[in-house]
Amino acid sequence: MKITFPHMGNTAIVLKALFGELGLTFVPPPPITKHTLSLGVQHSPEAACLPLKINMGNFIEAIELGADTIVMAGGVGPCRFGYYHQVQNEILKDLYCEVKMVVLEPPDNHIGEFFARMRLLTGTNSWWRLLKAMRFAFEKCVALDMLEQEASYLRCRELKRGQVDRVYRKACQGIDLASTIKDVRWCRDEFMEEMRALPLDWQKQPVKIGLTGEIYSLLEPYASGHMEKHLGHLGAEVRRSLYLHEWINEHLFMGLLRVRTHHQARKLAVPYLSCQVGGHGQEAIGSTLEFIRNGFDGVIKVAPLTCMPEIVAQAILPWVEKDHGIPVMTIYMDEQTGEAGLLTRLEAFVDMLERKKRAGCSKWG
Amino acid sequence: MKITSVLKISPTAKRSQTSPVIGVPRALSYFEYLPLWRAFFEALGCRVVISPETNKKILDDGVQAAVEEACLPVKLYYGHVKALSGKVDYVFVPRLISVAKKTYVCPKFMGVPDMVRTAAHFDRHYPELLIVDVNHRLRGGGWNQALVNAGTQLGFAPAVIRRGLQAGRQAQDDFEVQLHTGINPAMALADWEKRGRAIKRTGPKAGKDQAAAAPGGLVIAVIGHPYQIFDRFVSLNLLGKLQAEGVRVITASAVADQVGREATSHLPKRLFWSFGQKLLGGSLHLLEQPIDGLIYVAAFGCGPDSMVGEIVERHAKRADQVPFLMLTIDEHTGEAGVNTRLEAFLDLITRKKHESSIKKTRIAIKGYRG
Repeated sequence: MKITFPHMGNTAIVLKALFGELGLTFVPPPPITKHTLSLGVQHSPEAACLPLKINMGNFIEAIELGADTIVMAGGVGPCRFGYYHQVQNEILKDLYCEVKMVVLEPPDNHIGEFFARMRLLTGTNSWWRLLKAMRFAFEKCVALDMLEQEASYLRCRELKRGQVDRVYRKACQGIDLASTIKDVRWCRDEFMEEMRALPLDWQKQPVKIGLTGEIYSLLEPYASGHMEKHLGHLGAEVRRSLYLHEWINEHLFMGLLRVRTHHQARKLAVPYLSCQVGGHGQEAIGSTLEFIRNGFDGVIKVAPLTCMPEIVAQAILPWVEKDHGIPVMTIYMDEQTGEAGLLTRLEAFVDMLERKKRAGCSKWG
Repeated sequence: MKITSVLKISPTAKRSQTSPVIGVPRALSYFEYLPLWRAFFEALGCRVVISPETNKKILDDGVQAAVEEACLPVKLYYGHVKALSGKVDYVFVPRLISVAKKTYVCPKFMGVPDMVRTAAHFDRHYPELLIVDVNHRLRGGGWNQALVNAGTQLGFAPAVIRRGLQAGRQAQDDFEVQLHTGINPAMALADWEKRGRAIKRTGPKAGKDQAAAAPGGLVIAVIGHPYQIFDRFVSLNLLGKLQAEGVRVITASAVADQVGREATSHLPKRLFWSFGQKLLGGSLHLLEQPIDGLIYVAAFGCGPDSMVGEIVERHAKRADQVPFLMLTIDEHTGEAGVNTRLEAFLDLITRKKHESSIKKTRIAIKGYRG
């Protein structure tokens, strides 16, 4: 059994740690490139959203490398992500790639279904060993998220473009190679120091932009056209509303750990959108309100084209904008989105925020 | 995760002598639940006003108010709500979260009341909304509870509401029985609109639908959300065009839920959208029946359609090569383009049918000789 999985940001490093600890053989798909996307687009339904297409490309490339089992998350609605694996399975069947799909999702009838699926993965490992492996993987996940957060905080302040990213990439590699929890922590602290020791402009008062929206577009830089990096280079401090370890804690560990959750965000969103609409629709509105509370200058909501929950959120956000006087921009991504067009929009948005901020300062000062 | 809504809006009950006038937008779930709503509200003594059939004005209003990326039916919903302003006291905007056990509906149905609320926030010309949650995931939270809530919000006594509920249930059951007999749902709905009750067709008119199916004529399954294919404006009168060509049309509404479930039982995963399940079950069932072609009408940007359509297409291509046509419709779809595609499709299946009948004859002749 050779396991593979779809890419989503740094998920590959985390899953590698998990499977490695459990002694399973795995083939991570090659990094996402144009080729991955075009493979995915070629074989996926045209109207499906971007993550499905990129995942499809990942699977095909991984199967070429010899993978025969796919592990992915699922769901029971109402977002279409819950039905991804079913459609992907049918596509692979027509391509004559018979693979086993292990889908981690809430059971339909009986909790036993979930454990049976887990057992397939864990094999002869004891539950204790599984717990230990999960702890190790989660530690890596937290470290990576902290580094990523720091990178988007510092990127706008770097004096020589690209230095922060260089250190961040090195850090990712370091954490990938770390083999004990102690190593992971040491690696994290070491690279955090290195990042902060770079020549940075600490006097700068950049505009602060909150990035919210759909999870895949937020976590996978390729799916958002490397938006976080671009915004940093345009001179904006960026913070995301969602990091991988928060999602894992909320959805896989049932919120057991003391990690920031989105309860607060959902509560804030209620006057505008009173029920969850699947995906991260309600959270997008709630996080926008949280960003406003924390004094951010603007919010960008990013999602794949035709994402249903995000369309609901987008329809309601003008109300939030009007109530709080904060600019919110929605950007949809699909395989047609060009980098230049995206950059122009981001540049205009950052420009507008900077001017707004200056005007605000001069009014008070 | 249980999705629940916590919104509590109670309309400022207009204390007047007469019962309120309730508006029903002719969009989205109207095509599934009109009899239930109408019978219920009329039993309470309210007057029910339905928005006019979709027209250019409604489309323009809707497109203007909605976000660009929403699907056409949702955009039209805005337009239909707005079209009722000034004519009614409240517009009935149910929030469909789950209408059957262990299922959901599309996220846009869950968000639509809040989306319309946002539009109303920016535009004074929107009527007052009567929003209730339909959430089958909660204990006793299905349509019954939703209608009870609606009645309570309007200030009716529990006994009256109970009577209304019975009338509504009865009407909906009649409607569904009517659909399963294969009657054109658009016609059934038209009856409900005109008279407010099911009409038993007897006499020479009884087989009018079936009459279209001249012996040897084409039988085509048209699959799509009811709010797509039965709205003449949205579907560019697709059903009318097919019937004018002498084609007998079968839709997924005619397939009972139980039959649909059996048709999809071989799939490893149960579909969690109840309307999507209806389409998937309906099409997989119809693919096994002797049909000449299958037309899938999808809304541009519809999530369930993108998934269900793909699976249906793959099954259609695998199983005996049933000709398949996917029509994706949005507000920019031109009628001429649809006509051309439809014509080509009909040509294709006519030729295919002709060829296969020739082949059959040849085989028969060969068999006779041999």
